[in-house]
Amino acid sequence: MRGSGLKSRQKSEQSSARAYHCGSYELRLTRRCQQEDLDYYGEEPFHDLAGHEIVRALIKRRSDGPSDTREVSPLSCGKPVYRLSYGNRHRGATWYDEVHGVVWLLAYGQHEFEGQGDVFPYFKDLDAEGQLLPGPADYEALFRDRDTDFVREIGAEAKVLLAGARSTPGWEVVATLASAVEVSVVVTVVESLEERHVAITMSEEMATEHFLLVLAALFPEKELGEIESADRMPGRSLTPHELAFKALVG
Amino acid sequence: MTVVVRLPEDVLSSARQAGAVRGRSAAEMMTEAWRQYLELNRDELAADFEEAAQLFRQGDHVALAEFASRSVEERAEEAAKKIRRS
Repeated sequence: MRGSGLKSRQKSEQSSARAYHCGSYELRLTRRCQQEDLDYYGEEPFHDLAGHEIVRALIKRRSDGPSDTREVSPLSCGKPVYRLSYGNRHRGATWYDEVHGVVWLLAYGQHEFEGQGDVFPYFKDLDAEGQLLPGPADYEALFRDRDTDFVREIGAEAKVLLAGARSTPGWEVVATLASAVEVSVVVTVVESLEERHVAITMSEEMATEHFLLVLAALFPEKELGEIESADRMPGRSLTPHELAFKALVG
Repeated sequence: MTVVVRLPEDVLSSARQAGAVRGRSAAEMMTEAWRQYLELNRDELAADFEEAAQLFRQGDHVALAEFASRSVEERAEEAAKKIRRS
């Protein structure tokens, strides 16, 4: 039998240092945009640039929804890049990276101000040079932040999940650990021992380290050699995405 | 220390070929690739698993975050390449 487990984490809309969380996605600035367009070399743009017009516009206009109606076009990158405006002067370009759940502020410029011309050719030049979209440094910062959240949440959530499974022996308890990895746990009591079955929903993109952390969080007392692969969960077959493991725990 | 970032392409393509012959779904091939990977690298992974379990027992979140981010540079490179390909 399957019971409900932990609820997925819902981030409330809140400002933080490197990102601004808007529920199912977050707002971020690319490093190139921060340094070259905003002349900012720190790590906390949503704190240090909170008063900047384009950051205020980003929060105000992209908090309600990640997309917009007016695009910067034509672009060679093949992505829908939206115009972001604040007053007559401040212009930005944003892209909703749906795969990673981020609205990126890709570029910023002042539009037709004190002798400066139309800012949109600048955005198009960046696109033509392959400099508009986020680069490795942007994803590294994103993944490091998410890894930190992942390990902070997974240990505590795994403990709650295991406690829930122990309190309902024979029932399958399901959770999405750290809002990222779906797992199921069934605990059965065998004499004085606990037999623990765990199913983990896998993906091609899951990093090996993350898989090991999930497994270690759910079998913290065991060595890897003491954990067996299982071809089914108690009472059901595995889904095509699942791998299952079991171990006796004293 | 584990150096493999994600499922290696040779393991994936081997599982895909075997799965295609047997008429398996993409998801079944992916989990088969994971099974193969875990089996083939069990000894190497055992040390990393023990390190992760130890860090959980100690509650060392800083070291756990470092462990989780070991392959972050490779993952970031791959993500940046992928958005330019798609």
